[in-house]
Amino acid sequence: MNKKNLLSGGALLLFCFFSWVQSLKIKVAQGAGVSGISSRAMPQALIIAIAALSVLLIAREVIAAPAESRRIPSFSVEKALGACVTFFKDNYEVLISFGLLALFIILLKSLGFIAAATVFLMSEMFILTPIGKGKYVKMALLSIFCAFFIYFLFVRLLNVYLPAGLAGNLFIG
Amino acid sequence: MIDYSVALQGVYSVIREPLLILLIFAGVAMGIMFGAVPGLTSSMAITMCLPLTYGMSQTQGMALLVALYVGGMSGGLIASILLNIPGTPSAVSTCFDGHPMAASGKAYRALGIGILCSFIGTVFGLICLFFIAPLLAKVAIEFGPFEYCAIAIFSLSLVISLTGKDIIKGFISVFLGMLFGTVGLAPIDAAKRFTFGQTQMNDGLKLISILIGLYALTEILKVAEAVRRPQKVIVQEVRMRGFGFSLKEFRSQMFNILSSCVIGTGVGILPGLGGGTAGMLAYTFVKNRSKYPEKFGTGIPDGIVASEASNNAVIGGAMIPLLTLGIPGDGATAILLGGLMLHSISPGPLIFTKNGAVVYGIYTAIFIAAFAMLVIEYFGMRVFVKLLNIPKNLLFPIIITMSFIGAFCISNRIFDIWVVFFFGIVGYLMSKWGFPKPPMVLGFILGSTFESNLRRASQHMALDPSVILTRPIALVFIVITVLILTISILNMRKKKQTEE
Repeated sequence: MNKKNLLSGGALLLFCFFSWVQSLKIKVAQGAGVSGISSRAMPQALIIAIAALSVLLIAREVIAAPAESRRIPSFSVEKALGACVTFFKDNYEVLISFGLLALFIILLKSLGFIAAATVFLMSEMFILTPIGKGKYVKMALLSIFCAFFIYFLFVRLLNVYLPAGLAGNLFIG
Repeated sequence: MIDYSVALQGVYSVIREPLLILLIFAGVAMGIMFGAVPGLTSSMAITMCLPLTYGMSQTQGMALLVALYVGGMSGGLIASILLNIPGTPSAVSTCFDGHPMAASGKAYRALGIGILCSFIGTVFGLICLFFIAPLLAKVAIEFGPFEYCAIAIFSLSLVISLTGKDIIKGFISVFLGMLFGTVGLAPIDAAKRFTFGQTQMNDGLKLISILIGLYALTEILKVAEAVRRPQKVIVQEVRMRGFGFSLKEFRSQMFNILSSCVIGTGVGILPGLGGGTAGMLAYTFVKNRSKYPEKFGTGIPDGIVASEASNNAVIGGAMIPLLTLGIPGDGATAILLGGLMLHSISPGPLIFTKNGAVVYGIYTAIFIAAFAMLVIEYFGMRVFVKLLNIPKNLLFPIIITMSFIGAFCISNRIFDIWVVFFFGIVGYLMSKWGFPKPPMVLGFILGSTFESNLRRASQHMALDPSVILTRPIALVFIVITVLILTISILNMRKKKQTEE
């Protein structure tokens, strides 16, 4: 049994449930000129289609699986925690990268582009470099240079608005 | 009927000014840079340079703007081939075969094929624009809600070719894309859908944000996943002479090039579809008629040919309704319309009478821009491929930062960057769970066109259900769709039986 297909099917069904609830809040227009298909029809038709295909995906895996593997596996808190720890150990670079991306967006508004980009570039380069193989000082200098250069290029040369923050106002104006 | 004396006047007005030709080259170079960076597009480049054209003559101003358009449309192939991140929405389908070819050490060949086909596509679209613009405009004006709806269904049916081995996941992907396309204000009655009370979501999700999230963020996360694994060193082949095509190979691709150009020009004429749709349609068409469809996606020239020839043919196609009807064919031509108005050029049926010389000057500028694009990208190949020598741990964070700027620049909102982040998560999960991304992109692009035209068509049919029978173009597309779906399903069953 392909557990990824079961997991994705289940996640999609949850997503469809959530979307269906949201679709009920869509106001349907009343009055003259209204006919045929409402604003709710298309989203709901798509949600039903996705839900049906998700059920098909899950059913396909269950039917194709050998009989002995079809039983519901036993659940224990220790097993679940162990799986989480293993998952984190195997994928911490990805999870931290997600965190850094979110941090960049948060800092962009509060600290401005230069500070946010410097922090993001430095941290992400560090995460993407195998331990012991990076020239960390060079990475730090490159991050600072890139942040300033990109800001100067877009704001001063191309007249694109970017949140300035303190660094932008002090050094470039 | 072409007035050749006016045409010659227009051509001469461009070629007599060496500075204007230099301006076109500069415009193309800038367009290529914008197209190459994920998130930045030719639309953005045109918007930024529009104020610069205030002080220029009509011909100079429009020449610069079309040069940016041509450069931007083609520049997307660089990031698509080298980094597997589409530089522009038009270059999504170039990733399918362009990047695998580069990853196998043939980056020069992939770039060469893409550049040459971009040039051919641009020139083909220009020829159509020059000779048959008014005729094609008359056909385009016949397209109403029934025809658009039928084309959207036809295009979505071709998604079967993009689903890969798992058709269930492919259809889930396309329906998800269509569902994401419903976010915002509904067509016709402007009902709020999935906005969660946020006014920022009223405008819906932007295609650029979705592409950056699905492709660019997913690539950086793949690099993050592979940090602890031994890195595979890919040695690039020594740069080939010419464009990476032998004459024999080029002749064998002629049908693919021509059919892709026709598809691109056809799609370009129809407002709202754009280069992304053209690329995917041409790719699926070429794949479906190929003797070796199973090789598509592994790095074969056919895939790059289809994508690049069609997305650049959109340029000529999109200019047709712009100049003859005043209706922009895609996002970039919508801004070009602003440029035309700025320079007191009124698009429409009388444009050839009132501003004939300027129009032919624009055509000349497009041709020179196509040539400039060919030259700049051909000689720039060596520099572009050097990107692959930069360690990914240094390159990708910088690219992501610039992509975020591209997403931010759409409407100067942090919200659009959060959309990128969300689709980065979606794209990563899709990669891990084996869901194909191209159907989602196609569903997103076509979903809104399909829904708005379906609702308009249903309003017509509420008054008179038999009105569909008076729309032969729509009926033809529906019949073709049913045939394609039937043949595809039968072929799949046959293949499954053969495998069993």
